[in-house]
Amino acid sequence: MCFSPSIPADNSAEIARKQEQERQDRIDAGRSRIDETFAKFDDPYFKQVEDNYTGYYMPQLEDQYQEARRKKVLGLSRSGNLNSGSGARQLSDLFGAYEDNRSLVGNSALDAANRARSDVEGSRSDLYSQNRSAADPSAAQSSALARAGTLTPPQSYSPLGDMFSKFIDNGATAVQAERAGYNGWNTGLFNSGTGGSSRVVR
Amino acid sequence: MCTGVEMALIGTAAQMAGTAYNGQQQAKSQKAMVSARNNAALAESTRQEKYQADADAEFNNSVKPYEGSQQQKTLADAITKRAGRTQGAVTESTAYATPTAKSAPSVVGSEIARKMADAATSSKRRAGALGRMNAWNDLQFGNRVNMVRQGDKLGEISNFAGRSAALLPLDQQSAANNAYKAPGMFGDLLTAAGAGLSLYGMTAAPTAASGLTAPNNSAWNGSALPAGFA
Repeated sequence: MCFSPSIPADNSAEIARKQEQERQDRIDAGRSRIDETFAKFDDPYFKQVEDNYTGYYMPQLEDQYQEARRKKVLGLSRSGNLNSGSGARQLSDLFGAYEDNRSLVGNSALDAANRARSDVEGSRSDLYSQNRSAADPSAAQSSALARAGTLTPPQSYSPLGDMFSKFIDNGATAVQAERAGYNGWNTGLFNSGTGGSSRVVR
Repeated sequence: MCTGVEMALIGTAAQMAGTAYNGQQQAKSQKAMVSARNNAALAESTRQEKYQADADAEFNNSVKPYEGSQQQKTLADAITKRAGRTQGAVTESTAYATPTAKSAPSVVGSEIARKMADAATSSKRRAGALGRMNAWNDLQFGNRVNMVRQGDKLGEISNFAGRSAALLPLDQQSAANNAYKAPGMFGDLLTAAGAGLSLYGMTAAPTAASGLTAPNNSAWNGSALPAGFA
């Protein structure tokens, strides 16, 4: 007992605690860095997404409307209905559709901004997770595997489809049909039942 | 001068004292180790309480948007924003010239203008309804974003707390190792001396009558034994 060597102090817990504290400090520093990096994804950033969306789709809608309106006016003019109540109704219907589509584009622009915000939040969350994994390599693999399943390509934006074709294709036909005695737009402007000598048998 | 019996008794007493001393030292060391383990557990408990407090604060931040009329206010803001976008996109009916023939009476032009204005009014009403409806989605989306953010923070605190708790056994073992003190030599020496003295007293110590020699009537020379055993 007299000659037994002295036992050194057990510092294993102290070393482990120090390492854990350093790990937590690294995670905190990483989080601060992520927050700082993502600070640019603010409301003006997502407003820009909205603006880009409307900037892409509104001119297309405007062009389509102008073209549809031109064709409609020509069609009504050809059929002699431009200055009629039926023509006015068709033009206002076309205009109403145009306005509805404008509001839909505005609505979809906000949805696009929300999708962008969702993607950014998802990336931020992933980075937080990676930050923790970087400080804890044993957790890195499971985390990476879990996220691999979420890798889907982002939605792309297609050009606007034909929004007013039904007004062009059907408009003049409907007026002509109504004049001929069919329902058509059912405006009541062409009282074929009392004026003419002919009658359409339906 | 002590007799052999007295020496044996003293030796035995010394042995017992040495053993008792060693036992006391062992108990003292055990107590210190247990105390060190308890202190390590208390220190970890204090750390866990801090993590708990941090988690509580984050949880309160998660719940706060749902308290009182906060959701109503958030929804009202969402409606203002969404309906502002949808209604703001609707143009004025006067933006486009009324297409009438030159020969058309003015009433035709005004009729078309009136219908266009009606169409714009209807569209604006529908745009407002669309905005109000989708504002609910915006509200839920905002709630989810907030929830994910708070979840990230809670996950981090949970990670810290878990790792800290995992170190507790090591803390306790290390603290106990450092608190352990081997019993001193005194108890062992006393025991050894007592054993020696006791042995000497029983074998070679002088009796009160004959000095240094062993007593003749002791069991060791066989004189005290019954007949047939000597």
